[in-house]
Amino acid sequence: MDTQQQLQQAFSDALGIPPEKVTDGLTYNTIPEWDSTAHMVLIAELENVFDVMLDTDDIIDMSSVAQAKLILQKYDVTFV
Amino acid sequence: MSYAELAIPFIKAHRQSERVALMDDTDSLTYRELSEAVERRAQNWQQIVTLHRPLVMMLIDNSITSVVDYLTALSLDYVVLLLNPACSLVTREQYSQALTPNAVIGDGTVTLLHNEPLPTDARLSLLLSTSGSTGAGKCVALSQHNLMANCDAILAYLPIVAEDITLATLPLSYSYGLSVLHTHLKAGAAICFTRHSVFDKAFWELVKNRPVTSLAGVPSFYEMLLRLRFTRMALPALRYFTQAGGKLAEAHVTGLAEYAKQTDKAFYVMYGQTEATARMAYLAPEKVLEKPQSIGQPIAGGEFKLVDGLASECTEGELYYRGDNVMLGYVASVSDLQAFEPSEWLATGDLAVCDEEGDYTIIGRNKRMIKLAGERINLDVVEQLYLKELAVLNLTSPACVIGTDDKIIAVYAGFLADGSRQNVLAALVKSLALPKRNLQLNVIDALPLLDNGKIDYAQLNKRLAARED
Repeated sequence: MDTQQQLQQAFSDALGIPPEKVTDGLTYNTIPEWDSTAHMVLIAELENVFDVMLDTDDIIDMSSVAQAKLILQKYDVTFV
Repeated sequence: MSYAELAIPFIKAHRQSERVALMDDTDSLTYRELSEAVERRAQNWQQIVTLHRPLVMMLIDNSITSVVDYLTALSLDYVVLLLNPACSLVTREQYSQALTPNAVIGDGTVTLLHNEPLPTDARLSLLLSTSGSTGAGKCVALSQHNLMANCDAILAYLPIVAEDITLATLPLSYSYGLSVLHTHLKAGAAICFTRHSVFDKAFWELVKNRPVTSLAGVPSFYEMLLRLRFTRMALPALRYFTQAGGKLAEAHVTGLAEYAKQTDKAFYVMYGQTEATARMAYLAPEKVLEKPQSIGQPIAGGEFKLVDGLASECTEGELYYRGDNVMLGYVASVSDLQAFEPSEWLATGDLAVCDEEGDYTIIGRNKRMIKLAGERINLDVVEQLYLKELAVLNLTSPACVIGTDDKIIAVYAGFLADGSRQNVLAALVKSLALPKRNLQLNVIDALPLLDNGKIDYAQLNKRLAARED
């Protein structure tokens, strides 16, 4: 699985939505599945999958799939 | 009646105060303005509702106008059924049918439904749902005396002062959230609302800039704060924070207590139930590091006892509580409103132990109850809903519901095709108004039964727990 697929799977698992619904444009609080509690599950999942420890600001800024990729790149995760 | 003399509960003493009482992301009201807003609204409503002590269904959200609604209704001596606006239309309809309210109130407006007087016990003031936004469970009936007694007992131990600004993140339809409102109004302090969640930057800007001096939350709230590295934040204005609404994991309690100690704040671990208006006990902040799982001792005017079978002088047993904040009783239908015979002792359904210093610790639960995001869920009620949904879907094998905190497990003893499985889950998400992550559907061969033919829930819990490992 490449990092893109890992990311997609992590979002899918954490939010309980099918992987194909995980697109760059998917944004926090715009679908009922991605509420504040799910966001916490998501952060835990991303930290596990990519073995990183996110800062408060990064957790708060992670408001879309596209944003998640940008932030994870700061932690040396690369997406092709 | 002269409206300037309307007795508004909690805020009477602050009638002329120019201190801020309520604020949200855009507006604020001083105590004087709040009193005047309540008086104006009372005058308006009396034109529409002429009935004495009508039963009103009130949808209360965390907003300035909802607080004005609430205080207006209490001032006019209405009997108020308080509901979370997030509850489903089905739930509202069930309450409407069961309790036949005279009017509906929401967003500053009263809508008259019927003028038939409903006989109600003179002490009755407030009805709180025991099921949060999940289904139309029975209600807890409270008197104004209950509200005042609990408010005063909380003010006796929490360091609330008029200069405080608290951030009300808990729903006001929930007894814990309501107790935060009551106590701050009585103390003449400010209550701040926001539409932002802890995962929004604006939330933390608010906390830093208001600045917020206290926070209150259920375990899931603190789990989120810890995930956000709360214990590394510099929040000099924050003086104390409280936790109730279920047991927070010991490691989290310890982490928060250490943060509080290092930053000169106080962390209050508390215990309560809607049946006791809100609060029954709290742990002295200086004991939290030493006893992170304890709920401490009863609030002022309250008393605990442990009951084990017939023995009532024991150190382990079901926890009973007595005090002026114990509810009038339960209400399931309109006929229950007429008269109450409050019991002196409230059986909490929790099993507890008491140590030699008089501090109590909850060790388990006696009833089929779980907590979901801090709100109590009766598994029997959920099971009834589940069985109804199955019947609609024409699924006829034996089924039941078990659960742990934050997880409802629907069990089906029979064959379930993938399609049906999805249908069942979708139906449950809708009828319970719960996110899918809190639901699980397990298929097994047969339900374990007790000798009397009833479902052996303990056995089922064990079996499904073993399956997860």
